[in-house]
Amino acid sequence: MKFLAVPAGALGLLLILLPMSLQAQLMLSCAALGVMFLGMTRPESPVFRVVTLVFAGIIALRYGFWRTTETLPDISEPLNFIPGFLLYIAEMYCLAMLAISFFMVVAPVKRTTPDMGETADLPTVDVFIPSYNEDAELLAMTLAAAKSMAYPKDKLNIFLLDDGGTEAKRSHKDPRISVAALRRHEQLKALCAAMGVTYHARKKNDHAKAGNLNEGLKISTGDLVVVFDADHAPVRDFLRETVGFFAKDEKLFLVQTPHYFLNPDPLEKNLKTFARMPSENEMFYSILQRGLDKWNASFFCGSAAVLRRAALETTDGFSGQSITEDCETALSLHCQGWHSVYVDKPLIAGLQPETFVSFIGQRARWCQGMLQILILKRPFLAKGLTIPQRICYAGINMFWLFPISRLAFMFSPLLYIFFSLEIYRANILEFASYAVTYLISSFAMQSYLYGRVRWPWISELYEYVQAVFLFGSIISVVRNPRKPTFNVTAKGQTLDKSMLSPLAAPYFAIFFLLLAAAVYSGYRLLTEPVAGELLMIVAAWNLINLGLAGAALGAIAERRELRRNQRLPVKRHALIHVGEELHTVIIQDASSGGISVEFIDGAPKLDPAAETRATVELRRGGQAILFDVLCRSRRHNNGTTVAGFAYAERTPRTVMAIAELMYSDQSVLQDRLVRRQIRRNFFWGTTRFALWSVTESLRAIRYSAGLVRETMAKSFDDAPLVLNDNKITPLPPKTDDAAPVQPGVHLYG
Amino acid sequence: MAKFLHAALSLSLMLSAAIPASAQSLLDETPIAIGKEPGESESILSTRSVVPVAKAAGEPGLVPFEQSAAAFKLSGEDDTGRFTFFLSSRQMAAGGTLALAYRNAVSVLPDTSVMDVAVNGKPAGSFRIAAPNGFKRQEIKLSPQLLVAGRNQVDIRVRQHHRVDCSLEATYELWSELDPAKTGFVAGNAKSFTSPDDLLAVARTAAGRTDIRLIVPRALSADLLNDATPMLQTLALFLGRDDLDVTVAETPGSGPGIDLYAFTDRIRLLMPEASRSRPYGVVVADAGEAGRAVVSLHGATHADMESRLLAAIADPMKASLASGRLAASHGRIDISPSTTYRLADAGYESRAFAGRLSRTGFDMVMPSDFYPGDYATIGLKLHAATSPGLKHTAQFLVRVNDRVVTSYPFRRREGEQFDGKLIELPLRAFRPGVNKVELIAELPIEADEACAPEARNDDQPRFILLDKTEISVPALARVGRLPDIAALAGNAYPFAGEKPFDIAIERPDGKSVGAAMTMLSRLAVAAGSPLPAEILLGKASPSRNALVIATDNAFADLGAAGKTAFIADETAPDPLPTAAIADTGSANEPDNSSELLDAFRRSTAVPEGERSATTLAGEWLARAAGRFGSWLNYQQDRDDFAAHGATSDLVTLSQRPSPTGEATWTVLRAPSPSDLAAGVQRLVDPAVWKHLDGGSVAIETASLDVRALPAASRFVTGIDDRSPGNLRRLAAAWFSDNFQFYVLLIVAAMGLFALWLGWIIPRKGAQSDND
Repeated sequence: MKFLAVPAGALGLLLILLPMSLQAQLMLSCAALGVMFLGMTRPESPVFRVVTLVFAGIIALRYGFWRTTETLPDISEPLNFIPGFLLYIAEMYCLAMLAISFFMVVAPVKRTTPDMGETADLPTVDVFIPSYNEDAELLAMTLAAAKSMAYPKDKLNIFLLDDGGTEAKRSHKDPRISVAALRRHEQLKALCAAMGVTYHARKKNDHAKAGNLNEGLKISTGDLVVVFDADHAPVRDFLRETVGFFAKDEKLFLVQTPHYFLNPDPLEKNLKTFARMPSENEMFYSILQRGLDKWNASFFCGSAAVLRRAALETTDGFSGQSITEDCETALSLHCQGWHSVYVDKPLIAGLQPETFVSFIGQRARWCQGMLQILILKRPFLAKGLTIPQRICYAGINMFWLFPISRLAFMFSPLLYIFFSLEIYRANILEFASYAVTYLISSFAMQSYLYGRVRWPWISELYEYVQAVFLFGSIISVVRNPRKPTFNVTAKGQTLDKSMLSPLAAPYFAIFFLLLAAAVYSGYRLLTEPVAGELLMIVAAWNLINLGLAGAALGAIAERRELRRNQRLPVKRHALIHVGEELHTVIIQDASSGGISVEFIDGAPKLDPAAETRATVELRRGGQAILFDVLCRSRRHNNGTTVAGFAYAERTPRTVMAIAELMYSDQSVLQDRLVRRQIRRNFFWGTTRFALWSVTESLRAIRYSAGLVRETMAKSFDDAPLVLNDNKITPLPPKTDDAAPVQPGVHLYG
Repeated sequence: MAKFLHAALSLSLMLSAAIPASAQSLLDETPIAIGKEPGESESILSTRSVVPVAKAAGEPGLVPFEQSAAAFKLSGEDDTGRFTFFLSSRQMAAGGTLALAYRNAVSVLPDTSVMDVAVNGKPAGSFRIAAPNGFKRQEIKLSPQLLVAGRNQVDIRVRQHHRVDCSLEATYELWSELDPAKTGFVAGNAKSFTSPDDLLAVARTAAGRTDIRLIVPRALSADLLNDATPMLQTLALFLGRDDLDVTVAETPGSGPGIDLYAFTDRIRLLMPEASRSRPYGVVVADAGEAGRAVVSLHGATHADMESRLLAAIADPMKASLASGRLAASHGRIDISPSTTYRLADAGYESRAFAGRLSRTGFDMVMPSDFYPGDYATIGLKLHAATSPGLKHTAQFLVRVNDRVVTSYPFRRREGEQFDGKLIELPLRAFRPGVNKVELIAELPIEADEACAPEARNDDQPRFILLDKTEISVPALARVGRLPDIAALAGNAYPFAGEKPFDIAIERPDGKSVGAAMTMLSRLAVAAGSPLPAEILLGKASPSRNALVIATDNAFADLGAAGKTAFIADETAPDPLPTAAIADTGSANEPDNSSELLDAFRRSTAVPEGERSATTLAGEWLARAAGRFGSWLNYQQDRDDFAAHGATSDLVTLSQRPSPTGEATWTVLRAPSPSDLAAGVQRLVDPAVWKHLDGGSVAIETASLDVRALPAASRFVTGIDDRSPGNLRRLAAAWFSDNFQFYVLLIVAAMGLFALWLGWIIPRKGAQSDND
């Protein structure tokens, strides 16, 4: 079969790379689209999937060939040629990424968890929780959740690796820093002592997170190393779902699990899509990582992963040359011939940056780090990798060049609209035969491959929003690949007022520029009788860009966030003692601040004003877990009473109970993911997106005019964390929210 | 013999190509509306009755221009024509008068319209164009200083303005034309024919043709004709005229023309009495009648004739052969693949243009085995400039073979300069052989709308096209494909070259042989060199390429033909049934019922306003679908074709493989020898010949209209270039024409490949765990 298929493929390729007439091209496109759509009818069949990908590839290849041979401006006209060539490079980059992504996702792997085996044979596990500036309350939750993981206690050691309380920091010559570090050091030490975990702060903050983790390796001895970011609380079954893989494969160095977030990112928050739309990272975690897994190229994402100490020792621990130590470490180990596995189950719940500034900061780090790897490590040429691994790593790293291509696509229509530079030579028939069919196929493929986790146009929106600032990051990393330094992403920041992001200015500038271009192109179309086809194409293209820029304004017009603690709909059966009464309840959702409870056998008298005190009783393994709560609110709903309670106090015991409540069941996270994974068709998505473009740009303009009026209302502080009867008060760096706000009325000018 | 001759002539022609161009003038191949007779015109204004032109032979002593009648019309706002005439040193020394008999369209404004005449690059005079009512003779005295011995060059430029209309369309109504019979150089002394060069001054017949009569004995034989063809071809090439009309007879002709004798000693006694005494070698003499020459080639044997002819080519004919070649190259570019040409190569000279519609035309002669397709484009690198103030509808157009293939708008109202602006011409618009290319600049300004007489400034330049404008020809797909009448007419394909071929005359009567000789001489002129032809009376050999001259048996001329000595075996089965020619067109047979239905629909149509929106939308959709369909079939600008082979056809010209498939037969078929002769005359008419195209061509009996039928399918006659690049271009061209195979092949090949990938990929790398 091989001896027939390979020559057939070669022949096909030769034929595809022939300069053909438009008629032939149009017919070929239609036929290829037909086969492609036919292939999409049975998504579960690997053969059908490959056929779909191959025929989408034919269309892309034809487009690329035509674009290369016939559309470039003449080199003798540098004014046209230079921008034209840049746009061409941007497009070729996209085509290359398309090819790589097809390769990556050709057959995503679905893993089933192997049995952990006999308890006695289980490996010892060290859990590292590196921290830099996260506050004790957040860390307490993570430590509690880690501590609650189902694993033999004698084989599980948990380490809080505190880089905020290092010797260097404690003895910093700036007293403000040294005092804060000292305080933090003492508090966290106390916390760890209370929680029964090991606290460790190293001497100096060398090599940032990688250095910190390597310090952890030095002070521990477990067979396996688990890394959780400070805000990543694991579910009870985390180790049960992951450790078994290591017994199966001796060369396995990594089991990575997805990062699941409890809170929305700025786009989700500001466009109000968190509850309905799949998160941005789901495309990566539920499709790409699985695809990479196929080629033994799924990589370490910094947290929520289990690594083998023996493997790390071969590369002297975690690599720290780049600022994305995770991917770099995985690359080094893959080069050594170690294997990785990806488990597509959300097993931790964490936080993501909520303000636009911290979002961009995080992405800039990823972007620079990945490009550092691309430049310094040259994964495509790295020794020891298989060909598929090279392709995958090159793809992962090169992905972060998207800001260049995205901005090229945003700005190149302007050159034609304003200056009549002909940077893309095509008439409307050619455009229809090549570009339109290619666009149809790429939208269809996007929907086919990622439709479950990505609405139409959302990728473009995220790309554009990041591109504006990441472009500079790329320039700086290319100029000096060793320069970027590790910045810790700020998480858990909330805004108490709706306002424009401080980074808003360039987005407005671009928006108005594109708007002007749209108006001018309309004027040209109406007044120039011979302006013609190309202008029409370009004007339409600019209109799409304008839509993107408009929707992006929505992302930088930040809505306030009233909820400090993210709730998880745990739906858990419990008992509640209110005075003498005992009620059976369902805990609807839980957060680190409180719970909401549905009474199913008659409601007690609850007085939010008087802060009625109650005790909640959970049961696990025949043991009762108790914690006290205060009633904050109540409401009746269809005959049932739902009451909101805050934890009365947060002792280490309470925190363990909260961890038990929130993270004992993995399916809670899974359900929430799956609920949002609904395919949206292109037309629905486009309409939705067009609406955003209008409403969100208007909202942003309103914000910029200062036309936001929100009423403020008092809310209750969370119960403080109590350790050995000493209150832990929030540390100074954290924004001290003086007066949290309640939903208010927006007044329009 | 033919091979020798070919080599010798080619050598002399090659030498001539090295001669530097003398002072060049403008193109003479400007767009010319083709009328059957001088005086006819497509102009809408020339509805007046045509003044009968005196058809008598031109005045004695008139040295005519060598160009054929089709070149004598100048049209548009600014047009040039280049003409040549030949003078002996004696005539040159005497000086004389240039006589221009011209007339013009009524719409030409006499006040400002001018005709400039330059002789040998020097201005000789100019005059107002003011002869709307009939041919007017304008005479320009030419002193010997202006003249040269040999070929003299006359450049005529007309600048014509419309009386009332300033629109672009109106510029097409402007024309002036010369009467070929009365235009020429009136020599101070009478001419006589003594040397080969004198033949170049031979006048045309009343029909406007150059008459050559081959005088043969009554007993016609193939050998005898084969003796004569080298001389005939040499003469045709020497004259370089594209309006030759060769007749074959036992007696000399009359009127202006040339009587040609070519015989060996063996034949001598069979020849007419008067000619037997002709000396050995190539001899030119007066025929007795004024304006008629005698050319004879007499040799002891065929080989002797050959060497004597070569001697004549090597000496007395050489210089004029070379200058004739040079004159013929004006206004045309012989294309080689992967080469860049300049407009200057076609004889164009840069000049500012002051009108509304600039037209620059030239011919591109594509290689005969060129396969048109979409695999590449010809790049036109425009070097030009526009003046400020043009309207925004101003644009640059390129017309190839009378079809607009591309346009480029002049967007900048403030004027624009183009330094090599690339404009791409689709290769599909070209064909093997001669292609007429026109570069058109439409240059309206606001003032043209009003067209106020006082505001008109017809001398304000609006555009300049520089002669360094380049034409970049890409690598071409090359494969010999037949039938292709355009390649036959343009390059004498597949006969040009060194591969010998037959001219098979099935019924060797005088008219058939004359037609064959006319075709041969015309093809030799097209090829630019003598053809290795071998005359065969009877059937062609299926293993050799052949030009088959055939007539049907069923006509009255049969009896007359029977009287000639050599007659094909009538009882033998006809190797070429006429039906075969009709077959090629039968697929496109027009369906009369659909025409009837159309007419019915038109006559019963509801007025536009009364039809419902759905009807209109339906009609629009149907039209769009129809347009899309014809676009898919590469037929966007073509008319419907009528089939050939109808009994009303005078003659049909077609090409097909020989019965064994080893060779190609080009078949010229007519119902009768006289039809054949009339048909060939029409076919080689310069106005017709240049536009021959398609897979077969027919001339209708009644109207003499030429109908070209595209080749239903073509057969490959050979690939000279088997390099991967050429094969790839061929594949691209062929698959573009037959894209169903392309699509099927890709779907099949890539489908197979995808299935294999789909089978192998789940077996590679990590695999999903089964639940």
